[in-house]
Amino acid sequence: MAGYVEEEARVLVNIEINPGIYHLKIEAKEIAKKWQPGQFVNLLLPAGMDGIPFLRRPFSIFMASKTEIGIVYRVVGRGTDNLTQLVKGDSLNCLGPLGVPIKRKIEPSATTLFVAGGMGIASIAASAIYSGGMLLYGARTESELILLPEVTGGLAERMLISTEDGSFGTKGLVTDLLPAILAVEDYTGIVACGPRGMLKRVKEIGERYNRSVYLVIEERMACGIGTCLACAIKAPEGYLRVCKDGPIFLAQEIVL
Amino acid sequence: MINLAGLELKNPIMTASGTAGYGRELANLVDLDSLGAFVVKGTSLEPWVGNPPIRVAETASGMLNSIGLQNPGVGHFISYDLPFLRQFSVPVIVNIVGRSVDEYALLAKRLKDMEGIAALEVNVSCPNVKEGGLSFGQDPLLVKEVTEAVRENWDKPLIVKLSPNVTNIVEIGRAAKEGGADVLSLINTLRGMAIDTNSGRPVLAQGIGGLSGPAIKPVALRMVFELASELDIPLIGMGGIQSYRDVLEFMMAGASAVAIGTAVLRTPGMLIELVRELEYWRLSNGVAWEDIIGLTVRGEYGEFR
Repeated sequence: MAGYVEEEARVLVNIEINPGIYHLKIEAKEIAKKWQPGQFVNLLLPAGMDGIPFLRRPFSIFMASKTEIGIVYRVVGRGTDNLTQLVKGDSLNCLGPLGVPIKRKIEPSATTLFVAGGMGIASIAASAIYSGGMLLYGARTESELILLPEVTGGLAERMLISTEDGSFGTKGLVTDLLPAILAVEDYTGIVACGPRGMLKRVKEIGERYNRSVYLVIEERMACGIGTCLACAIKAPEGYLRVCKDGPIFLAQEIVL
Repeated sequence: MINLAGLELKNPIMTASGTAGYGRELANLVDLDSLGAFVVKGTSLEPWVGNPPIRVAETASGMLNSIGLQNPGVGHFISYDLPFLRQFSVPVIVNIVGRSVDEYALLAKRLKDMEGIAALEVNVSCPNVKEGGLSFGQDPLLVKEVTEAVRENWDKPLIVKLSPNVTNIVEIGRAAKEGGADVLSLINTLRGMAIDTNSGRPVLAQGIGGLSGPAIKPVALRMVFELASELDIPLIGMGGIQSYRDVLEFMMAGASAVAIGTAVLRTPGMLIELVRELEYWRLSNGVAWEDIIGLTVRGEYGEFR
């Protein structure tokens, strides 16, 4: 039966947790029930007088309970700006859960290494928590780290943090941590989500150490269900759909 | 029932080609059998790879796309998608795209004896490779030629989908009718563009794309009205429909049915709502669709609730 639904959900919480970064919790019973880590939801955001945002916006679901889903988002444009205006009790049309769950590509385990850059944490935190594997988490600066207990709880001793400016954790890029760990630890699979530059680096390093690399891709989308072919990503032959064939891909399946 | 030159629809709501794929994904959200017809994505003779991203851009009350008619080709459609669609009773309309007149003819021939296809819709907005890339749909002679080529190979209802990027839509519609079209559908997207002012670069990788959504509705409505005023041929209206009132506008302007495209990308469930709301409107006003279709053209204004 249907893997995803269009659901009129209710906002429970929508608060700024870091400057420009929000935590949104919504009651979306059907979606919460069906969600598996790695899947996302396509939200119909409140529009302005000019009808923008006109299309839905995709967001990773970082965690779901029986009836609720959690999203963390950064304000980057008109859509996310309008989203900050929603308050408890407001309704929000959600389409989801969408995309391939992480575990359909790789069964997360203690030998899985997770690498998150910036908002990429939202796509892989849940898998990292359940897996028993380790998480490398990097951001530009301390205020961009999302250290909500729901996001990183249970990861304390399995998480290494870096910031580009050294304001928290190791100074530098999250990928700088990777070679040393792969040299001594026996991680067989790497799952990464973050900016394209970071993903390229993870792929390079992972392949150098002969590990299976899985990349979770973020892309602008329209429908989110695989029909419109807007979120195309280059593959060795033709294009794949980030929304339907992904968002998780084996690194060799796509061309970054 | 609405009769479009022998194509029977139980209600006026159809999907618009390219926004509903081949039905699999949408079938998870919408009962396809509750629709008037299902129109598949533009299908070519061989697989088309499509354009590089970025492929879509949002604009005021609309969107630009340059997907590039990416599709897996007619062979894949016949072996993989058509058997899936045959499970449904909804009439299936196959939208065909080509780069030459011959390709259109070959597509029609290939689909001719296939069970489960109610009609063909010919997308004439593709560039004609042999004529330097000008779209077929911008030249009445080419529109007629393509339509004739398909007509010779196709016995069932034949729909020609018109491009709005022309000076005189009636002239193009007449050419399609003379070429043997049973029905005209309109409008395809309007050519447009968007620029990223932080770089000066076009937002779409291809620079120019096709505009759809509510931004184009008045243009589409005007073109339907013009065709309905000048030609005696059934019309399928589309362009920015978002509500049942929008549907009524198209029908009053002369469309016998309508297609919903961009709105399906936002709210797939709207398809079913429209079917329900239209039927409610029709019954509560005690009218038949044949009285509503083209009433603005005929000047038979009424008082509706």
